[in-house]
Amino acid sequence: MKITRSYLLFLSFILCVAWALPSHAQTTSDGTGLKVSASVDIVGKVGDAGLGSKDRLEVREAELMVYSPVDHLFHGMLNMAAHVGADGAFFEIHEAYIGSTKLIPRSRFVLGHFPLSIGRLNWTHRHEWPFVSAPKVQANFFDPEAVFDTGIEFATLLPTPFYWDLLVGVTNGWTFGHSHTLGERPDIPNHYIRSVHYFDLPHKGGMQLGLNYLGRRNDAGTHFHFPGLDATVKWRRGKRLLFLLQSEIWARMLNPKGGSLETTLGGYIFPQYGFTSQWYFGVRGDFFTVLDLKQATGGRVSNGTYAAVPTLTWKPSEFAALRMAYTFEYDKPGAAPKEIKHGFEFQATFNIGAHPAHDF
Amino acid sequence: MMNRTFKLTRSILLTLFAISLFSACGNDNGTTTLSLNGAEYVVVTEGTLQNSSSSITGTGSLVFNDPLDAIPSKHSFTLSFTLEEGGSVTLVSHATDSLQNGINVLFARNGTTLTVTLTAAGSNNDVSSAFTTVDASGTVTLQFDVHNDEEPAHLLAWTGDEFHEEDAIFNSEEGGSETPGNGSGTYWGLILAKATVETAAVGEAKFHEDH
Repeated sequence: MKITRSYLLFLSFILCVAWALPSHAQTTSDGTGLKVSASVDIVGKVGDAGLGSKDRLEVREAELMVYSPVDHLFHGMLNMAAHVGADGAFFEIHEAYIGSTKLIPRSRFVLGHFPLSIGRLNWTHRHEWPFVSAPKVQANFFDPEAVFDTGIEFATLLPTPFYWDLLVGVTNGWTFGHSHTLGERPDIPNHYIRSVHYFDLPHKGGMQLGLNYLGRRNDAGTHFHFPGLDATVKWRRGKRLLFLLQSEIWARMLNPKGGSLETTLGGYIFPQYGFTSQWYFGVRGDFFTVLDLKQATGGRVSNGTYAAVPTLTWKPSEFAALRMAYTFEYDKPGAAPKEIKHGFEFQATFNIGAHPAHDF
Repeated sequence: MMNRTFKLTRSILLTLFAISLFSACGNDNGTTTLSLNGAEYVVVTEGTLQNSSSSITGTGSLVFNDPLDAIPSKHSFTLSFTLEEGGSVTLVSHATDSLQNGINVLFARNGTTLTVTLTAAGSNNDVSSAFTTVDASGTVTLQFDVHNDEEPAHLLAWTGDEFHEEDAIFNSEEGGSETPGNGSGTYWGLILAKATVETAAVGEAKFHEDH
């Protein structure tokens, strides 16, 4: 009964999307600049490696985005997403914020609910990722999709002779990552900083480098520190993304009240080659390990997860992509015996309407 | 001269032999380990515990030697135990190696009634109402998921062999049965009081949320 009701709600949501899109032309023609966009992410998976449901094809998420200038100073965004979870489809607000790029010169801010602008994957919509599912470092440290929260972000392009964009943010931090509760008021809310640099590379290439830090202390007194580095390198030839290198490396230093400091290191690197403007092939390498895991008697416990994820993408346009991926995973979490896991994933994503442009 | 060299060599060899013998019997910090169904553990409070390779009986506490994956991690625990009248077993997860600052799930017997109390971060929550179908006078067998990677920790329990969320007899995200906090360590163990534990094993979490 619960699932039936959820699916009816999900169907209603899709009908709303279908209703909203034809009205797009009418609403934008009144000069308000209103834009409506829908994105659907369909994923199927077999095998035991990686994340997500097994042995079925499902609508992982369907997003309806409405965004527009609010007036001469502000812009607004409402992004509602339907997910299919264990209880069927359910809704949540992914983004609901007001922002401005005009109040302060060379600066911008957003106030409301949004994915935190840290690293690379966290602020990129999942259906726009160059691979199907999150590497373990993203899923374990943050969320299989992203850490969303409510707060404020401010960024400014510093007046330096080189590109330097500095972003700071503070959000509630009552919950962090995946949670179905309202959480508890943290001792120190989420606070983060991202320093972004851009460098020109030979042959019309470019590299964006991000230095990140996120911290919080929850209501139990556990202090989390997440320093991280993200790098994205691109070479384009017209519409063809000739070469992409995307990588993040993060550390999590967790200092619980009454416990000992635990340091975990994780990362991924994804080189991808574009054979044509439509066909791409890349291999993602993942690693994840707890550095100071010990037995009760003091012996060090070697542990780690390492994965290779070859991914083939057919992207006939900016609006659709079909993707196939294979995951080979060597998994030795904690003291458990090692396991070799395999998984196959298929993904179809499409955008209807004008999807907001992403950063570099 | 030859005699002194011989004595020195013999002393060194004897010392090395003693060190190797000592290493074989103990471990890094000299603590003796026992095992339950192949899982090594260390006694924290000896009390009246009686140990065999297939059960632990009496009153006392123990910590399993192998740690959990990380402090913020999710695991499933398989427990099978019997309780004397007034006896109890406490599953302690994500604790320090002395079983402090963890998530405690206390199962206590009162006749045929099983009283279940969650303790974390110094607070308690009585969740016995979810366990009324369990007969505390017999062998209690439970599968218990502890997701310490959520805030607060998400706990689920099953008595059958279907491990969907809707099959759980207990879910800490429903009906005001919230876990009062999180654990602060990577160790797990048991506290026994007039109890016999026949199975205590840890494995991958049975329930994974897709989103």
